[in-house]
Amino acid sequence: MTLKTGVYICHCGSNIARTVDVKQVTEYNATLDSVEVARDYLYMCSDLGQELIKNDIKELGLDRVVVASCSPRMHELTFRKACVEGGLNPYLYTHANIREHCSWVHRNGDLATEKAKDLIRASVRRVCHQEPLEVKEVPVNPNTLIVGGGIAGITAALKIAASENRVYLVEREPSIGGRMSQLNMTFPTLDCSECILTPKMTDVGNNPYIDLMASSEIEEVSGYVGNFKVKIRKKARFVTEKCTACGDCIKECPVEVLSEFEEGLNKRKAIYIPFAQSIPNKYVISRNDTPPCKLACPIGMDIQGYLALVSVGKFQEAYQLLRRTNPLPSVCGRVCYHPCEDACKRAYVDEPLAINPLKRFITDGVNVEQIELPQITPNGHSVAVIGSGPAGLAAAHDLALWGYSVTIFEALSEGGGMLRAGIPEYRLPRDVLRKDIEYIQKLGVVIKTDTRIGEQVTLDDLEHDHQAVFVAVGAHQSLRLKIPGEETLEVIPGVDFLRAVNMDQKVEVPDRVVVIGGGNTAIDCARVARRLGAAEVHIICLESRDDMPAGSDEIEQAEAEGILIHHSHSVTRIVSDDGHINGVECLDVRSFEFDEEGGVSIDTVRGSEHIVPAGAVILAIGQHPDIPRQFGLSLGRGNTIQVSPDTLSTSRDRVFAGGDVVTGPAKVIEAIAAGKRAARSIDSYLKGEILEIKERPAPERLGDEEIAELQKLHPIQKRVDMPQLAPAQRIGDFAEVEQGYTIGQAQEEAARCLACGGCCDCLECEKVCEPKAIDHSMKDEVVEIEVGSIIVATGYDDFDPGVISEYGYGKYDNVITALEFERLSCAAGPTSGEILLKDGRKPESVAIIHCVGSRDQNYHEYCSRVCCMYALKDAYLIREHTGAEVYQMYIDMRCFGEGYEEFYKRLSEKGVHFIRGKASAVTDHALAEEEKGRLIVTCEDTLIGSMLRVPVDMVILCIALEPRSDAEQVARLFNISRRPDGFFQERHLKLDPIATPTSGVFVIGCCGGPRDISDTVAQALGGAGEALAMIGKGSVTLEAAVAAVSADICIGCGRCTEVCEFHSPEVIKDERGMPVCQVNEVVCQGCGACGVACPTGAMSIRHFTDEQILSTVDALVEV
Amino acid sequence: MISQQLLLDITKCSRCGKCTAICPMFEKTRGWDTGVARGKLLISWGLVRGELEINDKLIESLYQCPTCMLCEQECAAGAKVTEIIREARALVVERGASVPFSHRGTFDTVARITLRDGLHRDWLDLIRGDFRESGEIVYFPGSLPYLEPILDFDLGAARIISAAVKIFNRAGIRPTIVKELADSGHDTFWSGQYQFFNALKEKNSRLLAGAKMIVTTCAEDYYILKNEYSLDAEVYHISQFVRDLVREGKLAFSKGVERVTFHDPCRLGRHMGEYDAPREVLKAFADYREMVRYGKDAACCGVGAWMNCNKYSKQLRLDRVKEAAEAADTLITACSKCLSHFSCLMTEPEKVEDLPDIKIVDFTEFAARNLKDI
Amino acid sequence: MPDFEPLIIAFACNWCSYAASDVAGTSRSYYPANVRIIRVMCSGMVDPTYILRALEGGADGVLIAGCRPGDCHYISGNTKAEKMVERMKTLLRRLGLEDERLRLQWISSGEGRLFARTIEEMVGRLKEMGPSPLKKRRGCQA
Repeated sequence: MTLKTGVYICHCGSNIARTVDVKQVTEYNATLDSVEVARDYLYMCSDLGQELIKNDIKELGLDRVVVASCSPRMHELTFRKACVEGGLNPYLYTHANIREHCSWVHRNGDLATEKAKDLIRASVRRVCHQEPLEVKEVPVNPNTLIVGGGIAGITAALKIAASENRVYLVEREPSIGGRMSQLNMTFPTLDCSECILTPKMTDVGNNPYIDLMASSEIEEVSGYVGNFKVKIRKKARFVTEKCTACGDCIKECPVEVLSEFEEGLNKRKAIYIPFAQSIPNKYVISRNDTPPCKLACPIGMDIQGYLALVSVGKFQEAYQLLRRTNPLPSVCGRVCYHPCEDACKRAYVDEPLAINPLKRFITDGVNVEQIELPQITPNGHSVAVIGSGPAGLAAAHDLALWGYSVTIFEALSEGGGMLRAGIPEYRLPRDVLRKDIEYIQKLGVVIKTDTRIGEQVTLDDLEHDHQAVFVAVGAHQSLRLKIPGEETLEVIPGVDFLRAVNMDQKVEVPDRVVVIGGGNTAIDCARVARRLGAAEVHIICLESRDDMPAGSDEIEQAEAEGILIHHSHSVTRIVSDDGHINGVECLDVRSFEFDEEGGVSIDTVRGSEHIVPAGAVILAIGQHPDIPRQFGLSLGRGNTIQVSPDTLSTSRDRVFAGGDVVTGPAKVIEAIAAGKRAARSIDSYLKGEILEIKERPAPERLGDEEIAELQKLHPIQKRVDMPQLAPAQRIGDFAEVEQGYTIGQAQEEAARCLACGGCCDCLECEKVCEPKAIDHSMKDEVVEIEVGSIIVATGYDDFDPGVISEYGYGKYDNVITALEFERLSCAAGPTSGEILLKDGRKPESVAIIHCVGSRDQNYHEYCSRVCCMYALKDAYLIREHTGAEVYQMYIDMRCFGEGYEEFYKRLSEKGVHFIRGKASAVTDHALAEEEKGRLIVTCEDTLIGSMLRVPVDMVILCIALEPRSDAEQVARLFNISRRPDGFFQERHLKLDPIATPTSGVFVIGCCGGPRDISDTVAQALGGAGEALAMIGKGSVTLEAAVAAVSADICIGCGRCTEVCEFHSPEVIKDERGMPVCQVNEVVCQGCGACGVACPTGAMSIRHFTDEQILSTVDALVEV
Repeated sequence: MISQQLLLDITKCSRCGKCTAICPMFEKTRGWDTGVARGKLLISWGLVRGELEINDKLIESLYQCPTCMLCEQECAAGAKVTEIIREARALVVERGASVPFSHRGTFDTVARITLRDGLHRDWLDLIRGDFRESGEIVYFPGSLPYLEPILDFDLGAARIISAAVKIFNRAGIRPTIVKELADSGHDTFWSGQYQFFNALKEKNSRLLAGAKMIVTTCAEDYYILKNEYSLDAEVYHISQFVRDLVREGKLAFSKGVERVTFHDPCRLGRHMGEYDAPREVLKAFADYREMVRYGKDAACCGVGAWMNCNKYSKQLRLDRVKEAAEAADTLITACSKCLSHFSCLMTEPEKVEDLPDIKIVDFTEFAARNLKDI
Repeated sequence: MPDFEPLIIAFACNWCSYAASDVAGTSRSYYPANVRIIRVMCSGMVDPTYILRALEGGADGVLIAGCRPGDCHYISGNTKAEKMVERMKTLLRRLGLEDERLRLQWISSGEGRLFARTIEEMVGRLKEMGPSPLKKRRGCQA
C-alpha cells in the first residue's frame, strides 16, 4: 500500500520566505516518494491554512501530513488538531522546523533553502513510519492529599474543599499552622500573623470536606496520576478525641521539656498543645524512646517518672509509682547497685542523676501504715514460695496482687533471706526491710518462718497443697579455697559470719582479722569485723582495685573506715601456731584467668611469699546454693537449679525456680527481676496462656553529635551529694552510713533529670482528666487512602547559624536567630512580647545581620528572599517597643513585592541605620570603654569604605531558609527530584512552577524554594487549581508516546527496570512462567532510557521508534 | 540465487517429525510448524516459488533459528536445513526486508563501518604481548574490540586478545595482527546479506593475502574464514592451534583443580566437526567434566549472529548454564558470541530465580591463564 | 580541502536543548547551516545505533545536546547519555574515527547563544579535521 502524504510549507509571512525559497522547496518536495501533494501558504497556522490541510485529507485521502513552519513547540499541537479535525490520527503528523532552525539562523538563502529541503525530506520519510496512537484517558479520583499543614497546605486545602471535594491534610506536628504560626507580625502590612492565620486554621478544623490528620506522616505512596494509594501513619497522640482542651492535665504533668514552638526559649509539659490556637485543639503527649535508665533497670522501673514527681513535690505519688514495678522499693533504695545511673544520659553533660538516693528519699518519707492498699480479687489458686529473699518476696508480691494466695516458707526465724541475713544493718536497717515485707504481708502473703523445706515439710507436700511452687532458696553456702589449713583450722565462712551477726548471735573477733575475697560480701565482712571491734582488718583479694567485683562506693567507704585492702594477692595457705590461726601466706599475682568451669589459673610472682598476720580468717570468695537432694531437681554448674531461661520452669512440673539459686550469687535487683519473671510465668502457666517474652533492648551509647547537642542544651549542674556519717562515727556501731536527702536536696537533684523519655508514664494526667481522654496505651495506626493528586507542602528548615562560628551563635546569649526574635517579640511568646535580653534588660542597641547562610558559597548560594523584609519588620518592632538603635548590616536590600519598597522607605525614615556590608564577626572582646559588656559587630561599611565596630546589646541573625533535612526521603517517597540547592524541582521554573516531573504530584510553598507568605499563598492557590483542574475534568490524558514492549521478544532481564526513574517497566511472569517485562503506561514518561538499555530490541518508545528515528537519520545524511 | 540442489533438498523432507522433537528452540516456543525446520523448509519453498508474501510472521519464522544444525545433523532425509534457511533469508534481504537484529542492529552497522577504508583503527593498545603488524602467521581477533563498548557488561576483549598473543609468544611466535581487518562477515553471511558479506570477504582476503596461517579465537570467525573464504592460508581455531603446540611440546600447562566443562559452539562443533581439540587441551590440565549434552549433541546457547535474542532463546541459555553448573564450576566456551550471551544472562539485573552460580570463561583466556613456562 | 562543509546531525532533547535551538532562532543567533537537528524527548533516548548510522551514512559529526546535569526532565536521562557517549567515543576510536566527531553538550533551554556557539565550534573543528572517512560522496550542500 502506497502512502499519500501531504506536505505544507509555510511562508510565515516573510519570516521564512525571506530566506528560504519556498516555491523551490515546494516543487522539490512534490517529487518525493509518497508525497501526494505539496503546497505552500502564507500562514499555515491561520484558519485558512488549517482548512487547506483538512480539505486535502478529506478530498485527496491523505494518510500522512507534514507541515514545515515554525518550531513544533509552537504549533505542533495546532496541526495535530487540524489533522484530527480532518479525520486523521494526530500521530500520523510530523512537523519540520524551518523557521527557528533555518530561516532565522541562516543568512545565506541558498543554504537555508537546501537545509529546508533536507528537513522536510527527513520529515516525509519519518512520517511514513509513524503509526496511529490511541490517546488514553484514566479516571481521576477526586480526593486530594496535601502533605504539610503550613499556610501553603492550609490555603490549598480550603480552596479545594470549597469545591466540596475531599482533602486529606497530613501534618507531621501535633497542630497545623506551620512556620507562619510561629511568626509575630508579617511584612509589610504588620498584620499579626496569628490573627490572619488562626481563622483559616479553624476553618480547616471545621470543614467537613477536610480530613485533618495531625501527628501523621506518609509512609508509602504507590499508584499513578489520578489513582494514588497512600499509606499514612497516624502517630499515637495518647489523648483521644474526647479531649476538651481544658488544660487540667498540664497542671499535673511533672515533666518539662523545651518547647519546639517557642524555639526552645520556653518550656512546655510532656502533655501539651503547641500553642493556644492549635488545630486540632486537642492535647498530645510527647513520648520519646524509652529512657536509658528504664532500659538498664532489670525490672524496668519508671525512673524518670518518680524523679519528675519528686521534683514537683509529689512524694506520695512517687511512692505509688515506685510500687508499680518494684515490690521492695525501700530495700532497693538502699542496696541497689543502680545500673540505671550508669546509663543515665546526664552523665554526658556532667554527672548521672542520683537515682538510688532519690528512691531512698521517696521510701523514707512514706508511712506504710497509711498507704492505701490495692483492691485484690482472689482467684482461688495458691502458690508456695520457698525462700523469702528478694526473688521469693518479689514473686509473692506480684502473685498476691493478681489474686493468688501465696505462702512463703522461710528457714530462718525472720523473712528477708540474704537481705536479712547477709546485708549488714549499717547498709540496710532492719526496719527498712521490715517495712517492705510488711507491705507484702498486707497483700495477703503468709510467711512461715523457721520452716526448712525438706525436713518437716517436703517439696512433695507443697506440690500437693499448691498449684505451683517457686523455689528461691538463694545461695547461702560459702565456697572453699582448697588451700592447706583451710579445713583443719577455724576459717570462718563469710556468709555464716554475716548471718550470725545479723541474726543477733554473739560474735567476737580478734584484733586482727583477714578477709579473703573481693566482692561485696568480703567488704561487708571486713566492715562488720571492724564494727565488732577488730582494730586491724585486711582484705586480700585476687583482683586489682579496678577489677574488684564489689561496688566502688562500698570499697571507698571501707577504705575510709581504715580497712586495708591487698590487691592482686593470692592466698596459698593458712598459717597457724599451735592450732590457732596466726596469719595467711600470700603471693603477688601477675595475672589470673577464669576458665569455663569456673576454676581459676593464677600467674604468681615467684618468691613473693609473705605472711599477713591475723587472729581470724574470714573466707568470702563466693557462695553457691545448697539444694536438698529430695527436691529431685536437675542441677547445673555450681550446684544451681537448671531452668528454662524464659519461663524459669524446672525439671519438675509446676515447680519454678529463680534468683541466686539459679544464677549463683547475684544482685538484689536481679533476684527481684527473677521473682517477677517467675510470677508472670506461673501466672500464664496456671491460666494456660503462652508467656509473652519481652526483650528490652540495651541502652545505646550516644554518638558525638547527640552528645554535643545535649551539652549545648543543658548547662552543667553537679549532682547533689548525700550526707554520710563520718568514718570515725560509723565504726562505733551499726548505724546507717548514708543519711538520705532533705526535701530541698531531693527536689533539686530530681530536677536535674533531662526527661529524655518525654512523658514519664506517671499517669498523673489520667487522674485529673474528666472526659477520660487520656490513653497511655495508644498505638500508632496506619491508614490507607486513595487520592487523585498529591500536593507537597512540606516547608523548610532553618539554617543552623552555629556553624558560622564567627557570629557567636550558641556562644553569646544575646545572639539570636530571627525566628527566636519572632517568638521574643510576640505577645503570646515567652516574654509576653517584651523584647528583652537574656538577663531581662531592655536592649539599647540591636544589630541585624543579613544573609546568614544565604548568598554565601560556603553555605547556600541562593537568596532566601524573605530576610531583607523581615529584618525591616524586626527593626520596626525594636524601634517601636524599645526605642533601641538598630543597625542593619546588609549586602543588598531586596524589597521587590507590593508595598515592600514603601516599607523600606518608611523604615529608613524611622532612624534605622543601614550599613552596606556583610558583618565579619560578633565578639565580646572590648577594645574601648563603651564596648565593655556588650557585643561588638565588626563590619565594613562598603559605601564609605571604612571599618566599623558597632557595640550592641543584641544581635539578630537573618538565617537562611534551607531544604528540610529529610527532603531526600520525601523526594523519594513521592518520586520527585531535587534541584542542586536541595529544594524540590518544579517541571518548569517559569511556566510550570507547581507541577513536578511526576504527573499528579505538585509542589507548593517553601519546599520548592524560599518564598514569602504572599508568594506561598499564590502558589498554594495554583496547586489547588492544578488539582481542581484534574478533578473537574474527571480524567487525565496519558502521554501516548510511551514505552511499549514486545512480549515475544522480551527476555525479562530487567535492564530497563534498572534505568527507569519512574518504576514503569516491571518484570513479571508470563502465562508460561517466563520472566517478561510489562510497561505501566500510566507512569511512563516516555524518556526512552529503557529502549537504550534493552539488549533484544523488545522495548521501544511509541512515536520515537528506531524506524522513525533511523529513517530521519538516513534521510538527512543521504546527500 | 538458491541452487537447484538445495531446492531438491527442500523436497527431501518427509515430514517425519524428527526435527520437531529435537529442535531446542521449538521445545520452548511450542508453536506452529513455522517454528521448526520442517515448516521453515516449506516457507523457503514458498518464497523461492514466489508463492509467499514477505511479512513479519515469515521473517520471524526464518530468523527465529540459531542455525545450530542439530536438526540437520539428525535429519533422516539429509536436508541441508541451515543452508536452506540461510538462502531463504538471502531472498528476504534481496527483496528489501530488513534483518531483525537484536541490539537495534548496532553490530551490523559496526560491521558496515569496518568495511570502509581510510579509517585509522586504534585498539592495539588493548594488547599486552609481543606482536607484529604484518607477517605470515596471523591472529584474527574478529570484532572483539568493537563489540565490547556496545555491551553493558565486561566482555574482556583486551584479556582474550592478550591471552591469544601470550599463547603465541610462549610458543615462540610473534603473531601478526592486522588491525585494519573488517568484520569476518559471519553474521552478515548468516543473516543473508550476501552482497555485504562478499564485500567483507573481499576486503579481508586482500588484507590476508600474504598469510600462511590464520588463528581465530572465535568459533564463528573460524567457521567463516575456513568455509566461506578462499584463502591460501591454513585456518585454525585457537583450540586446534593450542592442541598442536602442546603435542609438539611447545606449550605446557600447570595442573589446576578447577572443575570445568566445555560448551561446544555450534560453529566449531556441528558446523566444523571439531569436538576434540578443546577437550584434549582442557583435559591436559583442568579437572574436566562433561555436561549431559555435549559434543555433537551439545545444546546451543540460543542465539546465532545477533539475530534472535528473545525469551525462548533465553530459556535455552538458562538450560545450558544449569547443565553446566551441574557438571562444573566454570563453563568454558570458545566463541565470543556464546561468551556474550552467557555473560549477558549472568549479569541480568533481574536475576532469574534459579540462575546457577557458575563462572563463564573464554577458552583462550582460560588456557593462557594456566600456561606453564617450559 | 578548502571548500569542505561538514554535515552535523544533532540530537536535541525536547526540554532543554531543542528549546535552546529555538531560542537561537528567536534571538537570531546566526550559525552555520551545517547542522540538522533531530528532536528526541531526552538525550538518554539516543541509542548508539543512531550515532553509528549517522556517521556511517556520511555525517561528519554528531552532536548530542541534553539538559544540564540535575536539570533532566526525566531525572537522569542526561547522565545516562553521558555514559553512553563515553562508550561510543571508545568505539569510534577503536574503529578509527576521531572521537571528536561525537560531541556531548549540555545546553539549557534558555541558552540559544550557547547552542549557536556549539555549532560554530563544531563546524570549525570538523573543518580542521576534514571530511569523515566514512563520507561516501561530497559534503552537504553548503
